[in-house]
Amino acid sequence: MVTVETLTILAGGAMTIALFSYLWRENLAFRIAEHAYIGAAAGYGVLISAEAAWRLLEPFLKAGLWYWYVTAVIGLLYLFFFLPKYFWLYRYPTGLVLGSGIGVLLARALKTQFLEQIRVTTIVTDVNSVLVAVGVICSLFYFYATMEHRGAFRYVSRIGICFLMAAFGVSFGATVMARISLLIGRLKFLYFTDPAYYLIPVAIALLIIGIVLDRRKKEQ
Amino acid sequence: MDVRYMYLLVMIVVSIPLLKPMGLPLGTISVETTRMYQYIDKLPSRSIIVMIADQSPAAAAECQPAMVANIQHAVNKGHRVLFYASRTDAVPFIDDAMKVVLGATSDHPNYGKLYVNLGYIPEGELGLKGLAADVFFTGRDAYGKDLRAMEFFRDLPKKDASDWGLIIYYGASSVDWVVRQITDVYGCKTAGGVAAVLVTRMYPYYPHSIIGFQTGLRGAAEYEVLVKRPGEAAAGMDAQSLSHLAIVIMIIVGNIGYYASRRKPSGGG
Repeated sequence: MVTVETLTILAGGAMTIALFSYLWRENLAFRIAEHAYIGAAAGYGVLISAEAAWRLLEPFLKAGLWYWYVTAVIGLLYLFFFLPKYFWLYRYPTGLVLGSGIGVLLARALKTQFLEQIRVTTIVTDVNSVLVAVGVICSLFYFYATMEHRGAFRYVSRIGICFLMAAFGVSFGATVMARISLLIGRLKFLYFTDPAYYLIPVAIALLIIGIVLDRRKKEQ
Repeated sequence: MDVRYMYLLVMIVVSIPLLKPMGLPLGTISVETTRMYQYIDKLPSRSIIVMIADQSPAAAAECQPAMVANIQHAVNKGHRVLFYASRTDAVPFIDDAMKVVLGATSDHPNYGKLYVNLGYIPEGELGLKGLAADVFFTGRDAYGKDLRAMEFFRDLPKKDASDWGLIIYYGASSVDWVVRQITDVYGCKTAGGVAAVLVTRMYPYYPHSIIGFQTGLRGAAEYEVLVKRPGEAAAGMDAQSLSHLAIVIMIIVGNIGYYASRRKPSGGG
């Protein structure tokens, strides 16, 4: 019997294969899956956000604090984004969110991401912390452009480049690992989820047909 | 060479160990993962561990196994776990992880006593700041239950983030805001089950603010080994190792080809 769960898995499998089909070339199946994914994600996001907003607001309203309705009205001003004539109203909630966000961030960022980082970099406890301190100083020196990098400073700057390259290498390796993990996740879903694996032979057949049709077009 | 042959090669290399597991050794467990495990292990029983689900569907393949392994560890040690999602598309992952470990969500007998899911809290850093200042900030949990009636919060002295034992971030975007708003203000340490792309942004805070973290699928696999429950991540490590080997070989071959083509004398002239 076909259940909602079966249809969901089949839809998920079909979407996965359609999105992978981009690796062969841009095609209609990929475009449909791409648009459906973005649309579904946006719709889902709106629903969850509305539910969360109501959950946060409801206790205040239940307590008779009617002025909390003002927050809902300010939130609804976002919708004026779609009306060019009243677009200026959209700026009020945007300004409030950005202002409060930056206020909350700046108050802490200076300490956490600047002063605290300097403090812990200067604490030398083991070989690793020495490497960190040397790496930070040399890397910073590489970006010091007020003075020509000559003599001993040239070597400091060179060491800085080495540390930067090592950091970029780690980033690259980690990114490769992340992308492969995504592929593993999708392939595990396709191979081991009943009935998603039935879609694999269909996808292979469609790919072969596509390749043959492409070749014929080229020959003509 | 057509780049699509490389895609095909990677697809084959990943598929073979998934279909026929080889049991390649995981190697040494990283210090970062071990430190996180030891920290949770040493927390007094019934400590509160806050888990922030910030993983998009794209990062879930790496972060979800880490979350499952951490919940398993928390359950084994009798800790309390407070879940919340900081992005809308991460909401289902909390329920999924709870179902894998506990077999249930809000209908679990210990729900409201040891486990609470707050659902989605909007506005990332602002939302976390609100929750840290008052654990009853959302009023109700993800399933509409009143938080003030729950046994989970009853013995908390301050009802803010200073009562928490550890906060764990799962995701791929940024961990700075967690350290900024929790660790540096309330002293509660941060840990992570992060996508591998985020790992370089964890190190500036490690080990003074972030006590440890799991790096991508490998980190999750290491944690599964530590909690003695190999699962999703450990099963994917064969594919991960072989695909890395294939990529390393492709990089070497590509570089040899590049230098060989440079040595060829250019024709004409």
